[in-house]
Amino acid sequence: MTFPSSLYRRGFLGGAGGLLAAGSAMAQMPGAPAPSVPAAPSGGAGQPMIDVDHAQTDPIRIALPSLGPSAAAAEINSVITADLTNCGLFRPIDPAAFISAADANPTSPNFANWKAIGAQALVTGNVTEVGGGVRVEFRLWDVLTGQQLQGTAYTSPNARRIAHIMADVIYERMLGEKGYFDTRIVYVAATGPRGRQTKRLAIMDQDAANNRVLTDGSWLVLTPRFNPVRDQIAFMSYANDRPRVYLFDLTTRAQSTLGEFEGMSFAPRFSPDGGSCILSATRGGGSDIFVVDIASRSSRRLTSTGSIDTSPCYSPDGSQIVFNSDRDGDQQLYIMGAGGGGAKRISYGHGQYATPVWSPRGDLIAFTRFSGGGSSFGIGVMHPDGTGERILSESFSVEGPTFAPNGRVLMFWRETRSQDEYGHGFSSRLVSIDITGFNEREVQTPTDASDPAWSPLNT
Amino acid sequence: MTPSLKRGAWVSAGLHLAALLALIITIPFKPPPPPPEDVAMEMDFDGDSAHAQKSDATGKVAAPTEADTPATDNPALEKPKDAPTETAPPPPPPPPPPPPQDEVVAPPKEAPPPPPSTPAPTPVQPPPPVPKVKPPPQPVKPPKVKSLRTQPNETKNATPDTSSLLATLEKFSADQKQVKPPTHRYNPERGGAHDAGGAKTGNLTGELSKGQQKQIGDEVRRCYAEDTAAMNYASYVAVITVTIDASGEARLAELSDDDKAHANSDPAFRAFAERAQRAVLDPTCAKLPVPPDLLGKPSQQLTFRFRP
Repeated sequence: MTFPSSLYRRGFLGGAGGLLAAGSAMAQMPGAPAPSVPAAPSGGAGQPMIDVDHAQTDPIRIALPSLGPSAAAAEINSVITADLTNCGLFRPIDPAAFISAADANPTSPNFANWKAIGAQALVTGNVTEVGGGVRVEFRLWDVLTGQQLQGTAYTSPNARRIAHIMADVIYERMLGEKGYFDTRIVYVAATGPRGRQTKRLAIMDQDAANNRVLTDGSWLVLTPRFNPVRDQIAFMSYANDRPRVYLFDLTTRAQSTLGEFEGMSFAPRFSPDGGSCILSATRGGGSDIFVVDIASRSSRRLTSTGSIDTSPCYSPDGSQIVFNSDRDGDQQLYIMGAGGGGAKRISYGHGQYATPVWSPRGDLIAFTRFSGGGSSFGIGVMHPDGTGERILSESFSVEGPTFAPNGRVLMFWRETRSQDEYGHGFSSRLVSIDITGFNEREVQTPTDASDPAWSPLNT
Repeated sequence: MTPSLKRGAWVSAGLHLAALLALIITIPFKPPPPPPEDVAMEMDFDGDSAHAQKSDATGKVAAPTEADTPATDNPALEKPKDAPTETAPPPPPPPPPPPPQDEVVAPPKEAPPPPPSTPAPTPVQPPPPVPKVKPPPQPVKPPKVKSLRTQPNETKNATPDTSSLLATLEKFSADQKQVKPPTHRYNPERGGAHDAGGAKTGNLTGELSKGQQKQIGDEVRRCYAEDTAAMNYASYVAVITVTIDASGEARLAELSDDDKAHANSDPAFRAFAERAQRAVLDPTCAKLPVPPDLLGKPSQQLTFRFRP
């Protein structure tokens, strides 16, 4: 499928921001500071204290010595190291710096040796093979206090999955928030000449391992979204040349349409309880937002302004919906109640806004912002009241953000000019970035990739 | 059984045993084949799927249904089912090493208190008899005076057993409670703790000038790192009491009681507070620039307030 221009291409992204034409730019609203709870004094009023503030953002230095001589142990160590490194919040220490690798006594490490190389945390343990699987015992230590922070054992035939879970445990214990390593990404994989690429739904682990395709590429597919509680995906397909939203059951592989609409339906997004799906459907020259019950397939209209309302997304508690609309002339972000009505505009920055997605933590809304007639794109975040807007990444073309289940990391896709062997010039890749705007990394997919959607934590 | 039959039976048994051993040694052992490895799925497949939906001449085809599910060579696509089973954690480790006592504990200025009365040691087996030797002449014992501190009843086990006695003392040492009232009062102005029972330690924070406090804070700030994107990060404040040794090096860092409760209920705050503790205990920053005239006393304390 060829895309004459970035703006035209966005017109087909299932409401991912492109159904609207470019308009006049809005004045830049000064970035308001993020609302925060005032710091409450603690520890006794009037007592003299030494104040330490202005903390740095330095990754936690963690030592991950070998868990054993087996191949499974090496794989587990490698996966944990990669997970912690890629999140940007840990800095695994080079094993070459270890004073004595054999000193990694699982139950009573010599902390002086680890303190000497600057380690703040240490993971010890051992891997044993049991009946076709592996058993991993591991302990997480605070090197400076000499305390064990965590001690857990896992048994599974899947060593790689154990490693992701261990990385999640380390992340949660050291940072106080759940990890996101034992998760998956569904996305659109593109193969073939870039002039007429075949696009398929694909799924992989968050670290790009275990890549598998879900559809055969007969029809264009776009905007896959994970059900937060079921093993199910909603996506838009041009099957039968009629663009509609479909459900894909990952267990049975059954596909079915979601709702019956006269026009095209697009931009699906599940409710937080997974029981319903919110989407857009065209009507006349505009599009309205509907909510469709998954079980009964009954639908209910939430907007009917005659404008283009699209890209709806629930707040984590399901009480509100953020979407984009051109009802005021430009494509901007709005928030309304889950039952519809009372829409309030929240975006006032320079340019137009699309593809809003609410953070699972509830504190941020990520979006795509484009300006200059679609010549410049940015991925940004703002608070749900519209304050604190920050652009995290800008490029010739970036769009389609999705949050990790802990709300800490965003993934999106970036298109770059890059001629292939057929002389066509665009390459699209998935990119992850911390919500602070640091640690931007390209996800190593085997083919061109777009439209990522992060799964909830595997259970 | 006659001797000849008996001999024959032994010979026969020996031959059978030898044959069995020979079989075990000579038969080649073939290990079972290794289990098949998981193969990563390739993304590219250019052939048309058998179930692919293609438009006919009229452009009308059926909507995708379950029967139309495109066929792939992929294994099951459902959520990973091989979830690890989490079992009981390994036994807890030994307690963390205490700080070097030789640097932080001062010699007692007063005479050590008398040992508290301890229960009678458990009966032990008497040692093996030893050859009797003539004991040296014993000095005349003074008359017994009944003391409140001595055991009122005579022990029935008169045989000394040092190891047993020490083991018993160690066993009960953990259960000993302070029976003597504190001899010093809590002095809040000196930062003494409520349960210190005296003024063995003192909080130096109030004796430092603002400039000295800032100098110490700057030293610790070099190692102070936080996750600035953590939820509610901007609202967190942790108060930590740091025990320094006679050289001014931080040895212990303990959260205030209020913050301990907060840390127990809020994992993100716990992570924040633990990072603050690590900052002051980091070997790079643990040597605090405490004025020399305030050093030299063991187990002195400083109170830090860590903010974002």
